[in-house]
Amino acid sequence: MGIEVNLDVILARRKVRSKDLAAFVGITEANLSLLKRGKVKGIRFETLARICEYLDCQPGDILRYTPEETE
Amino acid sequence: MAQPTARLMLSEPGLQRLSAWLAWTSLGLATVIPASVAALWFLGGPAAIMARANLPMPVALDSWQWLLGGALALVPSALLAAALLAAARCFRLFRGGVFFSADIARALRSFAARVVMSGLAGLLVPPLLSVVMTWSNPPGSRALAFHVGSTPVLALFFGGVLWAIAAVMARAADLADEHAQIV
Repeated sequence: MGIEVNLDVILARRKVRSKDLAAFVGITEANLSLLKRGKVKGIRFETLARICEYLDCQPGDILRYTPEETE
Repeated sequence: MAQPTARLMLSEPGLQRLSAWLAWTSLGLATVIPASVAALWFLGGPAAIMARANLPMPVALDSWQWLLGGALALVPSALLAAALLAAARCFRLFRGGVFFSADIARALRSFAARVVMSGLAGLLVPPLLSVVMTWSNPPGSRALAFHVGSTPVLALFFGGVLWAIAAVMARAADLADEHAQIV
């Protein structure tokens, strides 16, 4: 899709466990896992804001746009 | 839930109770309606059905006519029973809290298609039945009777309406599936 999710990198840098982040944000660990792997179709602003609040970061630290390669 | 294959489950106790009741009612009617028609034909004799459908009465009746007539008379009610089975599947899913899924849309579409087929059979069977039942009549008293009643016509219209609703439900199921993949 061109959007990379770097949440696992930020989590590792901040030494935060997925379980704690999921509990703070109010989503299941399964959904957080899917988000980390970029296996979701979208993320709500509310979810993004809670993640940024907990990890003290900006949306751009979590999401990155990479142009898709065209043949 | 964000799994793409997950179903959106909702808790609607009142609707789920009603759906459970409707599922059993649909199953009951799917059994009773064809059984009643068969009983009326094979136990009560074809005269009752022929008279109800305003069809000409047979003068002489061979056993093959009796059997073929019975099979023909059963077609609309058998299709209606098949439609009711599809409706029962729909209601069972509602009972389980599944309101927006591809399964619901499929079951509703199947119900609509079978209602339409039942309506078509309701229009086509009476002429066929009149030919079969008067086949052994003396020349001049054989009949081809057309009878257009409001029931099959309404079934065709009702089936068409349901088909459109099923198409909307299919779109709603797609949207619900997509919504479930947003965290």
